[in-house]
Amino acid sequence: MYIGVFRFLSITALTAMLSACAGNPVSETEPVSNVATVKPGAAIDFVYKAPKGLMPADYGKLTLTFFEGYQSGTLRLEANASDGLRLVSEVNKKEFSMSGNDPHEWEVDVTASQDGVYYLNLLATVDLPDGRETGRAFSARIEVGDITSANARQSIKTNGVLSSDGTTIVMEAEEVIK
Amino acid sequence: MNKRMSGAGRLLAASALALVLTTSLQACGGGSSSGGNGNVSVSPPPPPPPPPPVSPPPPPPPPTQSSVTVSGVATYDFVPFNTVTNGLDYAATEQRPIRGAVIELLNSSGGVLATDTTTDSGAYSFADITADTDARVSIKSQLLSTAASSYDISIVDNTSNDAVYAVQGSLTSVGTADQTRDLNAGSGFSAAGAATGTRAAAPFAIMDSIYESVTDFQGVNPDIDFPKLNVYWSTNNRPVGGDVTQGEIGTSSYTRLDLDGNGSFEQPTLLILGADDNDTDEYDKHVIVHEFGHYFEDQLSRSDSIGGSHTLSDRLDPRVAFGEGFGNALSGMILDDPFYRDSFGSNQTQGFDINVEGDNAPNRGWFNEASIQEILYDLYDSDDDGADTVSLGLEPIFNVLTSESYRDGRPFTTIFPFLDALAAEPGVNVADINALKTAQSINGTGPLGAGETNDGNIPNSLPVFKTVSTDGTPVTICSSNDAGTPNKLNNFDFVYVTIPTAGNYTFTMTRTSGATSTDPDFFIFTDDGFRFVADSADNNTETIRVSLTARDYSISARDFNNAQGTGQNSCYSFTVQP
Repeated sequence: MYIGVFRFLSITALTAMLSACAGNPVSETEPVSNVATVKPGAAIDFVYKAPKGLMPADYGKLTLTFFEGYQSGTLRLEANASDGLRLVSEVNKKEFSMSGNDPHEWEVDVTASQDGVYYLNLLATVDLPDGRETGRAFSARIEVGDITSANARQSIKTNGVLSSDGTTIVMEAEEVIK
Repeated sequence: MNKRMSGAGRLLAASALALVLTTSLQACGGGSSSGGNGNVSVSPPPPPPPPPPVSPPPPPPPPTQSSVTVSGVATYDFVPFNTVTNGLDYAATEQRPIRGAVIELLNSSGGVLATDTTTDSGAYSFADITADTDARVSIKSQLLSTAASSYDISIVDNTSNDAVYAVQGSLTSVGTADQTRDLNAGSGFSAAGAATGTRAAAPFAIMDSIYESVTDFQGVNPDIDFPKLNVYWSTNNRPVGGDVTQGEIGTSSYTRLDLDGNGSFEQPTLLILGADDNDTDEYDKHVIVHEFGHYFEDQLSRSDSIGGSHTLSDRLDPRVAFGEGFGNALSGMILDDPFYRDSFGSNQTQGFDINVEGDNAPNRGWFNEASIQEILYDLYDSDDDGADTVSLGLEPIFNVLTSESYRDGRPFTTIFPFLDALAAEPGVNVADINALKTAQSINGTGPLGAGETNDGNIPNSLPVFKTVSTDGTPVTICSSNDAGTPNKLNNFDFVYVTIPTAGNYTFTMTRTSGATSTDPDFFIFTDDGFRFVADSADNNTETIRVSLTARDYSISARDFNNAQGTGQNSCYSFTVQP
């Protein structure tokens, strides 16, 4: 996954380019960068097309597309639905040969009984002919029904209890007092 | 709660028991007696009835103290790897000390009564606490030091307004005698790896990998100051791009965030995955140290990496190859374990490993992260293998990366300026370095990699830098997608120019061959990043006129089409003139 490089240009930089068009030297811009690294793993990029306007109890088709940079080997995929989402498709696993140049597409059907934001979790593992294995995990976001009201009803899960002043997530310790 | 009598109390109780026993023996008529004339036989008097049993007096209460000390040990659940599957082995969970953490004693209203920092064994102590105060111990997921080597590193919840995590004990009276309170942060997983509750250990596991990195660097330079670092971790952090405040962080990574919205992207931040049954990285120590390595490069050294996805067999932009190879090698150095491991999947039972000391990935060279990681790790480690006969440890590597000459150097951060600077370090044998380079099919020399012959099957990638003069004589540069896009070898080509005299200069990049519709862009760099950007949407040409001081400049140039998924091959003339 490539995360925007040089995507951001400051106002100064834009001004600088306009100046260049006029033939005047542009002035330096502050170095600006929102470069993001990516942890090591399989050379796989992933895009998906989520169903639009999916309502509770409806079935929606999710199109998953995987791009890989390998000449050969096997790409193994596994899909699992997060809480509240149901994967309707009969199988949740699929394999592709990586010997061709085309991306790999997989369509799955999903449904949820309530409004909300859900995720389909995907695990892509790569088996290479030389015996090496690697992998990368992905998620696909699926919106069902009225997510605004759903978000209002159910706030995001917290690993502990948010303190009243909002500065601390409090988690209970296992404690022995002597 | 397990309450025990204090040492002084036990001493007083033992004294009281001795007094009772002595009194009892005397009451039983022990010792000599006198009486009787000796010639009258008389029956001995019946023995006196035994005295009624004397109940020992209750032990005296421990002496009342007006103030007490509360101390103890802080630990967290650490889950090791199953080194066969590279998944996590929850059944082998062990408690490890929480090291270097800010720890507080809070009163009933949450006010801070005392503060300490946990030691390397997790120990802490709060002295002079008023007796009988109701208090709880709170351990924050924060490393904080204002000493000669300063740091402020917090693990916070990006899905809860960046709140810091704290594991807390019960609100209990400290009593009237010194008290021990040991606290453990549980993993929140069963022995089979199923989530069972709050994952209190996770922020502390992440923090410990960073603490290990910080202390190793301090071992080289005790005065090193670490710029403030936030680590975003949440159980909601998933591998999907989107809204970071909803946990959609893409993947575990390092970046700088623009928290105040002024476009400065100034806050160094690690984003760490936390979604169990998919990908969560709190126990993947190499992943944490790898990303911390990117922070180190960006904040304390220098990095020209453009980021993006990468793998061991890729022919990468050499700036990416160096940054990622360094991150992998650093994780092996800090953890003294050359096997980089990353777990994922259902119950975190799957994973993969990378042997940074020797992987059989193809495409070796100055553009390959496997080559870079192996060179760097071999320079560090004490095991000789293959071409590796050198054992430098961390110090010379650290010294080069943090030296002013490296940070202010003109060429981009690739393996070439690093090795060139390392060769000048005391005690470094150039022949040792050359042996490691040769083993990785790298033969360029100097900070520009002059004379390099390994083109990665992309002839236009050589020479590494195309040197241009300021008299308008063109050099040919190219941008190709032969190794993929958008951060692969020869997506960008590199130009080097010496500006002899301060003044205004015009830089021009014009298509000469290849794809007929191109969007040339280029970036002129100083030592702290690109200073001039030429990235108009003009077809087949790009130009910029800038005012420059006299010095050397590096320039990266590409067809913008190679910043995207499609990509194409094209070449250009590049000129610089007053």
